[in-house]
Order: sequence, then structure tokens, then C-alpha cells
Amino acid sequence: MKIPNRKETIEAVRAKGYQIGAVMPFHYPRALLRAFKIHPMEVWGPPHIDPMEGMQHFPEYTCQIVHKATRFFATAAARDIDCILIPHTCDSLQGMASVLKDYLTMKQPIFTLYHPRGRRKSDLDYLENELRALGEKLREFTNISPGNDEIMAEIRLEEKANKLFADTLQHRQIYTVSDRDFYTTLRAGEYLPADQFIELVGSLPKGRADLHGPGLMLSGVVPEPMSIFDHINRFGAHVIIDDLACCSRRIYEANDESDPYRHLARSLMSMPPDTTISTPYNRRFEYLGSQMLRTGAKGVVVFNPKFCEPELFYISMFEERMKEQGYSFLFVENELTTELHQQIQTRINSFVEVMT
Amino acid sequence: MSLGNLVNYYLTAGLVGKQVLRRQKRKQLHKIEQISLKGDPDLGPPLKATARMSELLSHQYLKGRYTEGVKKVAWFSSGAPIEILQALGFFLYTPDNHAALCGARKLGVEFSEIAESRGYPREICSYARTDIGSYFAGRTPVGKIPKPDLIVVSNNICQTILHWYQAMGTYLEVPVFLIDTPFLFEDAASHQIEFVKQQLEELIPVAERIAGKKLDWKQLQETCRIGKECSDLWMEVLQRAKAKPSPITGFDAFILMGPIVALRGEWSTAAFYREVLDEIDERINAGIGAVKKEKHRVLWDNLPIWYNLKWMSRKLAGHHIAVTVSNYTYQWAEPARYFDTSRPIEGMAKTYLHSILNRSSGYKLNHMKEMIAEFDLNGVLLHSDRSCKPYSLGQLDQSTKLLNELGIPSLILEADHNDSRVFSEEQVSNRLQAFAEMMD
Ligand code: SF4
Ligand code: SF4
Repeated sequence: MKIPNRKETIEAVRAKGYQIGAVMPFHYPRALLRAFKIHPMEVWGPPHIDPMEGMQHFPEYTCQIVHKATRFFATAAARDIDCILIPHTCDSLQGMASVLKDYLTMKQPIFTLYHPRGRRKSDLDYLENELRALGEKLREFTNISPGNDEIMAEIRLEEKANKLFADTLQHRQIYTVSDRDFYTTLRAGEYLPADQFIELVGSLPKGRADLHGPGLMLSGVVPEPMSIFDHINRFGAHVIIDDLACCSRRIYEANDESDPYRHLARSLMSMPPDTTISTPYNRRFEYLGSQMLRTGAKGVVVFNPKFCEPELFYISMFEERMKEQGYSFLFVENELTTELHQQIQTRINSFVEVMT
Repeated sequence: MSLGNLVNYYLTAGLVGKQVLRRQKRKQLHKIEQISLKGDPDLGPPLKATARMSELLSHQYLKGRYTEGVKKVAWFSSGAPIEILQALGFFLYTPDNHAALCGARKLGVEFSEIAESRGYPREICSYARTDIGSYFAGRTPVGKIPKPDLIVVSNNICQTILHWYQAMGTYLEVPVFLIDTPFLFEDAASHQIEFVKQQLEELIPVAERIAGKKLDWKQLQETCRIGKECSDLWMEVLQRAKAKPSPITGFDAFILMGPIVALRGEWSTAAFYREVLDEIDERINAGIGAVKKEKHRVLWDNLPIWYNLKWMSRKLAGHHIAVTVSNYTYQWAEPARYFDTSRPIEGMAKTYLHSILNRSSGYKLNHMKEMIAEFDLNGVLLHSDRSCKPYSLGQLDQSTKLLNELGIPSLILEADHNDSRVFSEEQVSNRLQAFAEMMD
């Protein structure tokens, strides 16, 4: 099935009366935006953007997601956007939200959402209220006041999509497509409406997947450039499971709360362990260890944009724990380019060679 | 609690230690007098209060050596609420202060390299690397660091600190309690205050269980009262820099802030800042400036460059530039206005939520603008601190706004608070010279 691109999606959702909301990574309430007739389109860079404009606002030691997204928002490329949502969990995104709100003359309103770090009752209460505050701002912006039932209907649809997303990610071995096609399909959820996403993922061909060599866990923020999958396959390995912030770290559990805001809060807080919300180290490594065992993965590749502090702090213990359990481990940093640097290709090649 | 520990804590660290430190203070005072007599072509006489401050902090570190088995120990991040812990009698220690001290003693690189060899990359905060490296090395310039029973960390200064403290909690197998403070783009909303309040309430039973006793609310109110008094006095110290010539510089403030960061809520800290005020007032009355030929008055934005503090202050004084204000040091002064002894938990929630570092870049810029007017400043030095993103992001726009809106020139200085490997003396010298010429 052909995957609609972003431009086509924008035209299609606009025709249905939706405004476009650009959303920065990572955790945010899709259903809430949809209930206010705002269609979320995630911005992970984008990789093809020249970061120079971003460099006018942020020092060179800031991650490329922030540089590129700032450039994107500040240029004509953003003319299709009606509002911006910045859910923030790291110093860089907080700094970016601050600069956009305080200094850049943007035509779009900028909303923020602070995701609590803990998993206590106070965290849940807070997130519920934070979502209500966001809902209030969206009501002022759109002049739409969806009732609880309408929000719940959007939540159910998103949960259906999320369940399919989770099942698919966890059963990579039954899909007869390349790693790149598999992840391209799943990442289309970053901008497609849930019903279209469900149809698209449902069309992935099933059977006995032709997966060669050792299975790997791909960890990190975002697999850009996507050609990293081609290189992993070309060197004789495959990605059997991921721990990517844009993919498996966004598997949310359904719950039975009847109030939509409480429901969304519980759902967002059910995400797997994640560096960006500072999940305690042991809890994260136990979880990742169980994923390695379940899938039979033989090694881990951590692939990150440079200067991502949340990820960098975990690297030392991550490597130590994985090696203790007999897994191979490779950490590479990339500039969020459109092509994978030759040097990184060589490192991945040697890593796979040693494993096989 | 063994008798040996008790004797060591009260006798060795308490009585004997105090005597030794007093002697050291006298020596340091003598040295300061010698320097003052000799005179410096560019700098005013050093503050005598620094000797008393070393005594205060050294005594705390000395007690830390013997505290295990006598008092429960809590580590806290420099911006975290400590009043509950203090009221429960914990011995308090802050790794941030330790990291800064290592930086000032030029140990930042040595310890960072040890952390780096263990897989902590150079891009992460150099305080974290210094502290983690010191842990791996099993060495510290303060003799011995007490092992914590509880770690309390708040992200009201940055998100980075959570990762650092959680790493330490994991290595030491100690519970880490988080006081999560949502970043403020505007003034705090009621649900944000409520969130911090709830967490403080959740901290009480956790801390009580470890302390083995119940929290005395009267004691908590008293601790908040002393804490507020210390912060108010600290604010007065900083405000004295309005005088012309300025009796202290931002570099003095970086040194003198030790007690307000590590020992706020103690009478000895309040007494210390009173002494500081007396000494500063003497200087004001005598017309003594911290920079002899003060010509330009500037604001220092961001953390200090710990390993080059003296060099930097001398260099600037040589250009007749007095760093009159450092906005970083206001972190422990300004938010204290929210302390409310009648409702301590709510007051603490507001105080710690409104920490300057937890606020938007626009708020920080407005704060700078106010200071420029109040302290009659004519320039700003923005330390672009490579491994402290929360403070450094936004400086490029701040610099443009300061020039366009107030006509105030600024200089962006690329460095790092603890990692001297990214500091080039030659480059910084040239840039400072050009900056001074621009202001002339
Ligand atoms: S989590 Fe990392 S990659 Fe993402 S915005 Fe923050 S610093 Fe950048
Ligand atoms: S990142 Fe900056 S604010 Fe955070 S601990 Fe390091 S120096 Fe302090």
C-alpha cells in the first residue's frame, strides 16, 4: 500500500476541517488535539533542513533536532502550520520552547506540556491537570469545546492504533518486509490520522520474514537517516526489536478511566522506561534486558543525535549491563543527516562482523 | 550509634576540629592582610570574610567525615528543598558544591577524565563528570564524603541533574526522592504549585522513616524562618554592589555563596552573612572598590569558570571592568520571598518552583534588564557554558535584545564551568580586550 506523504496528508486533513499542529518529540496527547480538530504532525528534525537558522539562536552544542526544528519553524516551510506543541522533558526542548515563545515572532501560538518524571499519585494528578490546562488553551485557540464523549471517542481510536503499533513492533519476525520498510510504515504514524495508520499497518505483508544474521536492538532517539536500516541489513544483521524514542518507547497502555483527562494522563504515564523522563537506571535496564531475552537479540546499537544529554547519561551503565549479560554493544552518534556517514557505516559493519 | 562514632563526631570534628580550623582561619586572615598591605595595581583588598567562609565550609566537610553512624545523611541538589530534612536532623551534603570546589581547585579535568574513561561522554555537564569521576577514583579534596541514606534531587535548576543524581543513587544503592518542578514559561499556575506541594508532603513519611523520627512542625517552621533570614541577608549582600565603586564583585559573590547553597537554614550562616555585610559596609564608607579604577560595570550571566576565577577577575580589573552582578548568585536570594512560615509546605513549593534557573529565557532577560537599570551597568558578559545547556540556551537572542532594546553591548564567552579543556586563555584575553575597547 502506498504511504501518503506529509503534504498529501495535510491537504486531506485540511479538507476535513482540521488545523495542523506541529508537535515536537516525544510524549503528547494525540487524541486531545484531534478532539479539538487539530491534526498533529510530528517534527523530528526534519533531517533535510539546513540547521543554519537554528545556529543563530542556539549554540553549536545543542542537538540537531532543536537546531533543525527551529529553522523549520522560522521559515516559509512552516506556513502550513497553525499551532505548535512542545512537550518538554529535556533542557534543550525547554530552551527551544523558551526561545520560540520569547524571541521569535511566530504567527502560530506555541503550547507546551510538561511531562512529570515520577510515577506517583502526585505525578498522575499533576499530568491530569496539565492536560486540562492544555485543553483550555486549545479551546481558546480553536473556539471548539469537545464534550467528554467526543474526547473519549478519539482516545479509543488512538488506543486501537496504539495497540496495533505495539503488536506490530513486538512481532517483527512475522512481517515479510525489509527493516526500512517496516519502520517507514510504523513511523508514518507520526503524521497520519489513526484510521489511515490502522489501514496502512494492517496491509503489511505477513509470513516467514527473511531476516538474516543476528537480531539487534536499535536504541536511541530517532533512526535518521533511515538508511541505517539498509546498512544493518547489508552488513548481515537485522533489527528485531527497538528501543527508539519515536517507536517502542511510545507504546501506551489502555486503561479504564472514564474521565478523558485522567485517562490520557494514565495512558501517557504507562510508557515503557525512557531516558527523557529519567526512568531510574535499574528499571530501564531490567526492562531492556527482558526485551533482549524475549526477542533473542544478540546485540544493541545505540544511535543518537549528538549532544543528547538524556541519552548520554545512560550510555555507561547501559553498555556495562548489556556486556555483563553477554550482548555486543555499539554506540554511535550522528548529525541527523540525510545520509549515513561512511565512518558510521564502517563501525556498524565491523560491529556486525565481530558478532557473526 | 557506636560510642566511638559519637566521640569522633563531637570531639574530633566538633571541638578539636574547630580549634584547628580556627587556627587555619587566623593564618588565612594574616595572608589576606599581607596581600592588602602589599596592594594590587588593579584589585581592591581581598575580603576577610572569605577566611571565615572557608572555616564554615571546612567544618561542615570535617563533620561529614565522622557523621556516619551518628546522623542520617541526605544528599541534596543545590536547588532542592532541604528544610524538611534539616528539621528531621539529617546531616546534609550537596554534590554540586563539591563539584564546584573540585573545579575551583583545578581538579575538574582530572576527575572528568576518569568519568569519561568509564563511558560518561564529554558532552554531559562537567559538574556531573567531576563528581562521578571523584566517586570512581575514591578521592576527594575534602577528605571523605559521607555515604547517603537518602538522596533528594530537584530539577528546578536543570533536567540534567536528575540523571546525575540517579546515577549516583544507582551506584550507591540509595533511594532517590525527586521533587519535580515543572519548568515555568510564565508565573507558576496553581496546579504546578499543588504538584510540588504534594511531593513535599510525600517526602515527609519517606524522610521520617529513614530518620527514625516524626517531623516536628514547629521545628520545620523555625528552619524555614532561618532559611528565609539567610536568603534575605544574602540578598542584602548582593544588593550592596549597587554602591559606586562596587565594594564586591560577582567573583566575590561566587565564593561567598558557598554557605547559602550548602548551609542555608543554619544560624551560623545567618551570622556569617551579617559579618560579610559589616565588612562590606566598612568598605562602602571608606570608598573602597573591589576594582581599583572602576570604569565599567557589567553583569556576568551563567555559572562561573571555576578554574579561572582569579585569572578572570584580574584580567577584567586590568581593563577597569567590575563584574558588579552575577545573576546566578540570585538563585538563592530572589525566590526566598515566597517562604511562608505560617504555611511552610506551600511556601517551600512556591520558593523552589520559582527558582531563576527554572524560568524562561525571556524571564531571565527581563531580570538582566532590571539589574542593568538598578546597578547602573553598561555591559553584559554571557558565559556560554558548553556543558550547561539550561543556562546557556537563549543567550544568543538575549545578546541581540540587549543591544537592540537597551543599547547595552555584550560579549559571549565560550568556556565551561569545570572543564578547562575548552577554555583558551589567549582567545578570551583578546575578546575581553575588544569588549573593553567597545565600552570605552
Ligand atoms: S531528548 Fe535529546 S535529541 Fe531530543 S530534543 Fe532533547 S536533547 Fe535533543
Ligand atoms: S547542567 Fe548546569 S545547572 Fe545543571 S547541574 Fe550542570 S552546571 Fe548545574
